[in-house]
Amino acid sequence: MIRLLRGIDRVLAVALLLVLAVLAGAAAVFCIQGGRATLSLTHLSVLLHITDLRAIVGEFLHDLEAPGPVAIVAVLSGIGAILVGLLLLVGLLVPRRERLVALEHAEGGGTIAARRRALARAAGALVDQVRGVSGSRVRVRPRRGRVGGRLNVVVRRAASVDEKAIKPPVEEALHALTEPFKLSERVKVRVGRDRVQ
Amino acid sequence: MADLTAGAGDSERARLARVALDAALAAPGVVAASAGPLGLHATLAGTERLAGVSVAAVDEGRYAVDLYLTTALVALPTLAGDVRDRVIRAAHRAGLASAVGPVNVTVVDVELPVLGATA
Repeated sequence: MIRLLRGIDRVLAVALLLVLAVLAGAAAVFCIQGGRATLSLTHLSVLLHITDLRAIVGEFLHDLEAPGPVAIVAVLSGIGAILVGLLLLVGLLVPRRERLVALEHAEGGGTIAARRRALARAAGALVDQVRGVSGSRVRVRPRRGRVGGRLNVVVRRAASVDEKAIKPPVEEALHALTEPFKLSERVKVRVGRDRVQ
Repeated sequence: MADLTAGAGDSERARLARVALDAALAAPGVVAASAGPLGLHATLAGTERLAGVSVAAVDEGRYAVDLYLTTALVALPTLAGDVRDRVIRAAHRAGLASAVGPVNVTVVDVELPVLGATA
């Protein structure tokens, strides 16, 4: 989906740049003369039928002000245009390269890194083995330009289990991952459904 | 042990990729190598595509080796260090000691144990 949006972004960007270049070139050429001469902006507006265009657009905008179904169409079209714009922004702004969690930078060169998803799965598997845990969700945030990152862990506990009794073993279970990799952890405990034994 | 005769007609880069991949896959705890969702992490060695390893020249005839691995749920720092050591040793045995440069190991996924599976 992101790749498709990026592809559309690129095509649109090129098309818009071409249109902009043509318009700018035309404007520059028609600035050579003034008044109503052939290469004047006045003559350009006549060639582009700008006065007729003003009448057509004015009539269209006047129709849009009418109540009823026309107004609904106008609102839906506006919302659609906003959504399209937002999707294009997503295609433009979403990072191209996945951020990895750097685990080690060796002296002689060479790094050890892990995808966020891999670390999250490993952390989730460790946490799920703690007694009283009915589920977990782990998000990994790498540190920019440095080794390590942070694990944000939300643990669901069985209702019969005390919250204070579950957090320390969860943090202990995560140490196998956090200590070697210089990851910090933040653990939150919520009540969840009991796990089927 | 890496098959030193495989790909005898390959370039040095392709030979290093093959040796590195074989060494990495032989490490306990490594499940598979992955070329990634777009298939970019791969090296062409003759007609064979070595998925999960890419080798790029760095300087002075040396190559950086990048490995992209799926591992079991084991201690990842120990495993990654072991993979790196194996790759360097295998390169030395294959006569590619001067070619091997930085070895980068990326864990792309962790394979979780299947619940209820018996040994």
